[in-house]
Amino acid sequence: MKNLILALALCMIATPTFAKDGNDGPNAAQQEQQAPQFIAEVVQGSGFVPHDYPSGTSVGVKENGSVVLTKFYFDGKVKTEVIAKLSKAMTANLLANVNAVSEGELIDQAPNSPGCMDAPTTTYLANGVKVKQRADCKEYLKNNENDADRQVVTTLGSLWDLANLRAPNKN
Amino acid sequence: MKNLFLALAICFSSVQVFGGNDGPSAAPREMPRQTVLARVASYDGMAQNGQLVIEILNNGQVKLVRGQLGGEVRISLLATLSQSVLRSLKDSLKNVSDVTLVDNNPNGPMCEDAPVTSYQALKNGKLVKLKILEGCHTLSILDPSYADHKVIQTLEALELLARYN
Repeated sequence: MKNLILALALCMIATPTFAKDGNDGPNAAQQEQQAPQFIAEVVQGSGFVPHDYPSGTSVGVKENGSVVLTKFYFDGKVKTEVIAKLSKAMTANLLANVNAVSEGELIDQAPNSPGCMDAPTTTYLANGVKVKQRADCKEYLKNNENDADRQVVTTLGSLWDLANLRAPNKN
Repeated sequence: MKNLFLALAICFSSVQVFGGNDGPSAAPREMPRQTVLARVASYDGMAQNGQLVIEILNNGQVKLVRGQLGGEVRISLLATLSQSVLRSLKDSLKNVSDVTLVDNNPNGPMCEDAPVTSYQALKNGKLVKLKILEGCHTLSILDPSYADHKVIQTLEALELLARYN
């Protein structure tokens, strides 16, 4: 029985609908192919979770200030919900920071430290470009990270916490 | 002195005072008075920022009150929570604790002029304190419920949003 569960779990992980490289969730892959829907977004692949839990979750901010929570499920279902609307001033400030993020690749900040598997991968995006990523129990940042990078990540982190008010687990 | 500033900050937020340059996202002057569901009140210590108060109102609006040391008070709208998020918050409020807060490190040294921050939530018709940062000490609920955690996390998230934007 345990082997059957393990086989099913492995099967779910191998399903190509929600992973491109790593477990970034479906949105991460789409971000590179089309214009981003959100000015800023945090996407989390759920890692090793039960089948009825979301395979990925994202919180994104649209240009009009709407904050959208999206949950992706293993059966292909996607649920979206507007959880808040930021004020015009705040949206403008976020947009200014998004436009001022630094250029450059994300670098493993501790390349010699051990990695891990099956942990959630969290990616912070500004206009579809990765600003920060936590994956495999490692943290990837730009070496030339600026204040705008940090503000975008902090804002997204706050909105992620706000989204946790809405059923953090399944459904 | 710090407590006086904190009291003033809370006072600013309790009275519907509108002043300064509210900007385009400011709460409209005719905004009807709403019940406060949860609140963060912070006096920023030895800084020019003065006071910061964030209130989640019964209609989902998140009101931001900034009081400058010079006396100017700015009230604006930070965000508006959706009805579903508001419902989740109200569900959590039913289960927040109303207990005396405990100093996590009672024998630790005190400090002065550090920010004083208080996290409060509506419980049985009054605002109860869930967490206080004061004098470099943290006063919190000894055995917090999941609802306590969620409400504090929400208030901390809104506080960060306000401070970084």
